[in-house]
Amino acid sequence: MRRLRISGRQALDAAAAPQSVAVIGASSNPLKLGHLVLKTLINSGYPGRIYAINPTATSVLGVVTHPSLVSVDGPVDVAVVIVPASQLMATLQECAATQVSLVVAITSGFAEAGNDGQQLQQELEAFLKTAPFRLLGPNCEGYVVPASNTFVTFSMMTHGLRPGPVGIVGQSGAITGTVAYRLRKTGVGIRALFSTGNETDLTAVEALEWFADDVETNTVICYLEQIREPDRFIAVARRLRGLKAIVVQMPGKGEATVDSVGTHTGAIAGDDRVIDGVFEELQIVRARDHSTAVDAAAALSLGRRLKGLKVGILSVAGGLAVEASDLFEGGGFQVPRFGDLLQQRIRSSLPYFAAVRNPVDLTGAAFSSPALFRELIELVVEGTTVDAVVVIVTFSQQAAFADEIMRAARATDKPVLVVWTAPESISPAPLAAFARESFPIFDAPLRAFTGLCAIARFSGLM
Amino acid sequence: MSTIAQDLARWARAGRTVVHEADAKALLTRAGIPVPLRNPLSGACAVKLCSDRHPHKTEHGLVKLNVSVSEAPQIGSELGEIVPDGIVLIEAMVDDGVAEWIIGCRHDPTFGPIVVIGVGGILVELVDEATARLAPLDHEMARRAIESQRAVGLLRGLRGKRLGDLTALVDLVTTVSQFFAEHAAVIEQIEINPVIVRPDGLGAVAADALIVLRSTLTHG
Repeated sequence: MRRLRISGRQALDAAAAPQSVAVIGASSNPLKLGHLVLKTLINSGYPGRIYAINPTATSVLGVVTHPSLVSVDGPVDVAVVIVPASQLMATLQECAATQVSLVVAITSGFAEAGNDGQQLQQELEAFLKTAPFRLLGPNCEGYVVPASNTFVTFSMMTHGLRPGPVGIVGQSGAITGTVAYRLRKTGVGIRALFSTGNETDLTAVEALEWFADDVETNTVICYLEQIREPDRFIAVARRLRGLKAIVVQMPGKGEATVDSVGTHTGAIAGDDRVIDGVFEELQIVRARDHSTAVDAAAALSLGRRLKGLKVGILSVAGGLAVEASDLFEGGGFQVPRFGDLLQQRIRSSLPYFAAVRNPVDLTGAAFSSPALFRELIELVVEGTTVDAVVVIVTFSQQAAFADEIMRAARATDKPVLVVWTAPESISPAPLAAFARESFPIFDAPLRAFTGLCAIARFSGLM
Repeated sequence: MSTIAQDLARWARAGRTVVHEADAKALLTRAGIPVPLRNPLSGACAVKLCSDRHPHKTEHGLVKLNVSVSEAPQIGSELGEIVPDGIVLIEAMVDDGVAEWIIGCRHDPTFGPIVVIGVGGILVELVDEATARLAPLDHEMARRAIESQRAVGLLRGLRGKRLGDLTALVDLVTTVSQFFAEHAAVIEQIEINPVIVRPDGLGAVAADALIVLRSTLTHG
């Protein structure tokens, strides 16, 4: 008897922690994607069973091969397919005869590949309407779930991704891969990455729905060239509004709408402005490029909201304090002068020449006491003086600085954004401490500003 | 009496695309959207010749403003000679407007029915500020959308001018958006330009309105 078709959610649930993965088209040729996919899966430390499917070889990368999926003796949860486009349908027929939940079709040569590809894609779509499994792709880069060491992809950009609260989904594998890489550079881990490719079955919106229901996820980054199921997208965004953050990179064509009657409605609000308006309504952060999306998501991953737009700035260097103050004030935030009492209290911990009005210049004295940062953050977040704190550090070798800052950040429901300008080579221990906790680090005030703007949008303030 | 939906369906079946101002306003009135008093007994009038073939009346000289009540019928029949199949619309002039807004409804290829709220009247060419929202909107969302616009300053007593009736504008936006969402299967577009916002407490009126129906040929 034919199996019932499973839901997208069931398929992605199975994919998040699969008992077994079959690599169909595993190759011993190191130049082939079928080689890279198997190698990535093995190197990621995937703990489940790996089946390599190859009709001619006996073993690939030390894994004994099977001639076909049906000849595998145990159940297979996920099948990743790297075969030529012309063989994909036959492979899917085989998958339909097994218990596979998710098929990841990395194979390309469909809608993106001229008329022949279009026709193949139509056949594929027709078949998938009733297939018992669900399919990611084709023409995608696969998916990654760091918490279960499941790296079903050939993308080397996903190498070293750690578990964390950010979901990534996109129709362009190149962009999702770059987003993942950049996010890792901020120290933030990811919940899962899904590259949806041509979306013949599972769409980015279905992946977004999965993240919406997933308790580990607090922020989702989407790269969308088109929204295939707008009603579902709107419904899930409404459900998450103000609760779980959504960052969307979506290009607008910037065109006024063609309008035969010549009214103003199309002329004054073209498609780009419609995206802006709808996202503002849904409190979705719109990113114009992937690096902005990463900065936004990194800040949102803190899981904090803003109640107002007042920012306190604590910096070890006067120049960076001024730079940050200028950015925040010019970009819709206030950097209010602290009250006399607060200034006195800050002053008592700092040298006489430190600036204490806000921005606060801690001077080099800050480096002698890691606890000073925590104490000052605690002082500043008290009461209603500010709604967020930006801490700016140049470099330090001591992990204790990171620990004290994170302690203070965890103790308040106000966002604490940390700018740390030194690279890993100069500040290895503190940056590693932040990354262990998936705590976001911005290497320039501008990036923290982008992040705080995103929190303001998520909170319905911008 | 037929319902709004029946009228719209009948017009669409008859192949009507543009619904001229007089019919559009009659329909919007039934939906609860305020329009200027029709056939007033005193005061200054606006006389317009409405025809589906001429959605842009001013360009064709089909609008005469500040006409006295006694002259209005004569001017109406003169306009009628320019477009014989048109309908004469005589309305009271709204002369206490504080600001003008434009409210548009259309179908976005991605997001479906949307409302566009912008500064209207002569400022529409000058102030490039329009806010799009999903239709329908509730009062809170409509108010937030309008308040997010810099132009809301026009309603807040800019340079000693009177306060505008923001609440009435919010009501009008909300009602239009709900009317559009309800009939979006038949309506391609609604444009109310301008909405005249009167002093606080005196309301807001749709001074001009146009409805475009979805072509039954292309939309089944």
